Amino acid sequence: MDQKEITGAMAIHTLNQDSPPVGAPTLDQGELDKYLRLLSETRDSREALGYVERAVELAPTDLRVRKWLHGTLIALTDRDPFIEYLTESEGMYVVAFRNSRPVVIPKDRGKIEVSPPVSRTEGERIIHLLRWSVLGLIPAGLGAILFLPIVYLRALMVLTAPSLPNRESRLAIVALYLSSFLALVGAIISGLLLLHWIG
Amino acid sequence: MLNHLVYISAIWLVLAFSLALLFGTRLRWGNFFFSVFYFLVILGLGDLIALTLFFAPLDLIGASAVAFWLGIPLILVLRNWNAFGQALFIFSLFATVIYLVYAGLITAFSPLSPIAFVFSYLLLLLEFCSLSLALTYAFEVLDVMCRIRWNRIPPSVKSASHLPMVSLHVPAYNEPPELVEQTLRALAKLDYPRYEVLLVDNNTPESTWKPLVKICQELGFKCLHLDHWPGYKSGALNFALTMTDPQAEIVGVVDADYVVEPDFLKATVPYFVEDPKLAFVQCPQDYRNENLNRFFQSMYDTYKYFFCLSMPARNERNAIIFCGTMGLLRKRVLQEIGGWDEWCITEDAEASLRILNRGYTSLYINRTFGRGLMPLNFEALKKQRFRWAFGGVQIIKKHWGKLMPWAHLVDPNNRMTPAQRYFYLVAGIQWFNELFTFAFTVMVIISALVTMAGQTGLLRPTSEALVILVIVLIGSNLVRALWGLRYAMHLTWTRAYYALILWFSLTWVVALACVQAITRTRGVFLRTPKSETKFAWLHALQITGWETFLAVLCVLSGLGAALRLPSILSLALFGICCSQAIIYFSAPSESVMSATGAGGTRVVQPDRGVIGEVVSENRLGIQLGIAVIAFLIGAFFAALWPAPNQTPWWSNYSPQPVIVPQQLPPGIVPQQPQPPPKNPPGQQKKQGAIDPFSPLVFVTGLPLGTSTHARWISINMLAPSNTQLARKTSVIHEFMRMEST
Repeated sequence: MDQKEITGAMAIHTLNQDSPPVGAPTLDQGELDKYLRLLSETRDSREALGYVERAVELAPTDLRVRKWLHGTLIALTDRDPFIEYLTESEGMYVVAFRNSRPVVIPKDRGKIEVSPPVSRTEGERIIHLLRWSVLGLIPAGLGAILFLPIVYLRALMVLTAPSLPNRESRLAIVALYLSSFLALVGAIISGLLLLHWIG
Repeated sequence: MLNHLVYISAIWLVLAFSLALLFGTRLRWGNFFFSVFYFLVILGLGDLIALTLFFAPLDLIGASAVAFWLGIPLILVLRNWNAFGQALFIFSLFATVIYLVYAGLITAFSPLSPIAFVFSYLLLLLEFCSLSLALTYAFEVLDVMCRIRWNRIPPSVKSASHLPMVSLHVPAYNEPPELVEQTLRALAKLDYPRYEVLLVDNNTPESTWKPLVKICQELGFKCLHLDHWPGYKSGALNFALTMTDPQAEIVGVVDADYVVEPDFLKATVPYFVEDPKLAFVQCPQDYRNENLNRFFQSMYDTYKYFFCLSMPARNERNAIIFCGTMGLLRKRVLQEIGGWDEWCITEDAEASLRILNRGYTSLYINRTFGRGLMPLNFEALKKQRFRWAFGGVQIIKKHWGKLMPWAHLVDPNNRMTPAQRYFYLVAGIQWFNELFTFAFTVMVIISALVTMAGQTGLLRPTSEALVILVIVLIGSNLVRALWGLRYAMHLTWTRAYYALILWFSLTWVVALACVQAITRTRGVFLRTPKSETKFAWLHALQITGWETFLAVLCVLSGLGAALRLPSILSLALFGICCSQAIIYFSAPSESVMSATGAGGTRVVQPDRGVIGEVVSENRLGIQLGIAVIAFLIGAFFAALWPAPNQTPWWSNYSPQPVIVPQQLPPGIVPQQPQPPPKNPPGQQKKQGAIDPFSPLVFVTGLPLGTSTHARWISINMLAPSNTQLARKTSVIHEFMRMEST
């Protein structure tokens, strides 16, 4: 493992601790001011990078820190704009400049809804199940009828579950109505199919 | 009575459409009473014409009353349209509903075998989807062409006291340095006090991006090269957000091939100052290589159509999409929504949905501020359209829950209005139009092959009234598409026609994209068939091999059916097959046309944005082909299922009379044709009666070509042999005899 990889692994370890652990000390304003002072005094962009990383660890949302971070990154990329992607987490990038160690850069945006979702709530799963009811209309509505009891059972389980968020109950109710409607349509079509079968 | 409803709805639609075509874009005022009066005039005229064709005054009065009471609420809802547009939309809706009800009754109550019923039902489902889409296109077109009142025109710009800092992001992937230099030098001439430019190049070879560093240094811009960077364009733009000046309040995206006007920022940024809720502003995408030849002109016209018709309609409801270039966003809003979605390959439209979901506003300024380059050939256009369609379906997959009518009930934080949800939902679903067209083509081919085999057990009965309505609906949708194109860009009829043909030529690739988007979880890009030739025209044909194959298959199957069982009816089937072939033949013709713009030698255009998983068109075509063959084999076996050997009691509910295409079961001797009963003088023939010797027509799949080519399907096939015609004649007379008793 070369130095970049070792430092990268440490950076990834840092990434996995985006939020400060319980019982972490509060912001050391003196420490932050120290790094900000060092940033204003240094003329070496690589040295500045080290200081600004420390400042970001202490106060990632501080406006002054953000300004210094931006200025340092721009200075680093001024002559050589090469930035290599190493990895990222929800809140951080880990990148490397040319011939540099990995650098952790906080993302400047909120969280985004992941797609496809890693996990769904029970209500969302029931709504997702409705796509089979819709597709079940294709084989003469039989699929919609078949999925009706499945959706009903799961929706009732959600509705009778204690202390679930309102959203889950609303999703379950919507699923009940929709699957009933789809099953009704399916029943009409299947009934017609039966008529044609009997002749 | 239902037969008369079908006829009268066709007559009303023809009347309303003809008058709208003549005067619809000229009348720029309206009021409720005039609209009602005009509506009554159409109703009355239509009734008069219908009376001369079939004397059924009671039916006509009933139909007119129903149409009137259904039309009044719609006139109130569409109060920003003139009377011509209102009437046309109402009668289009009426005709569509009548058609679906009629076809539904035929499907439900005609004496079919169970399998034939299932096939007929599938066809009805396809018709329902296609006709619904056709109505959405009609709405979109009429909303602009017949509008008398615009409520969201951007006011004239006042000079703002405070002009916020703007950060312009220029994403680039493997672009020629000369092209990017042109863009950067144009940006350097922007007449605006505070702005920065971030050129974000990702995953490009060093020899390509290195020259840009010097140019950026010269112009005082920032340059970033992102190496091994995931997430396509959105990944690059997300990192650019991190590198944006903290003082910047507005972020703009300008594609690397866009030459921008100097007043772009000065004309657009003040809107953000005036309205704190304004989240993004979009200007039209325009192009500067549109006059090379007819292909480029058509491409230009189809692009412009969206910005001249669709976007103004959407802007009225605060439902525009962000188009990925020539647009500005408020930085804190972009940060609030989490930046660009790297999962979706049309991250721009997806971001605008999330922004509107939070209750922000948007604005479309219909003035060109920059011109880029269109794809240089048909191959590049195919790939681009595949991406757009794939991304459009991805957006629906991810956000369909936010767009449903009950979305606000489930999630009160969903701030989208019903109109916004409608436009975004329809925008995603409209991509499936091409898939429906392809499905219809498959059914036409199966019908022809089944007819060649002499089996007609699968085919749905038809009637003359239905066929006429089909022709009217198809014709009106086609002409409306041309009308929209002409009006939007002031084109000649010829040029509008060519634009329509270009839309048709992309049917196959969009259908592929829809299937892939439904079945895959991550984005893919299309690789067209490989070609080593240096001759442009040969390469052009090779990359449209699948479309050519489909077209030839349509022609051959129709020809086979016509030769196997020659008659007027099989010739009509051949005509339908040819109409489908036209759609697919347009692809090689456009491809060759695009090649002539580059002279004789093939131009290799770098694939923009193709840095992810790539899927081969050949492989997709083979997969789809296997599915179609399986369906065809199933259809052949299903066609062997015998039809009922006696008329069941519930067939009385079928609209009468219909022509049943199934062969008579063995053992039933066809009766000699009886002369039709003579009507008393002064009376027209009985309602719905069909002269069995009248030319029977069935229309399917003539391309509708609405604003973005909705098609709908009505497959009513008749087995065309002379012997079977005689048998059917006897069946018709049997029905007529039953009816008279």
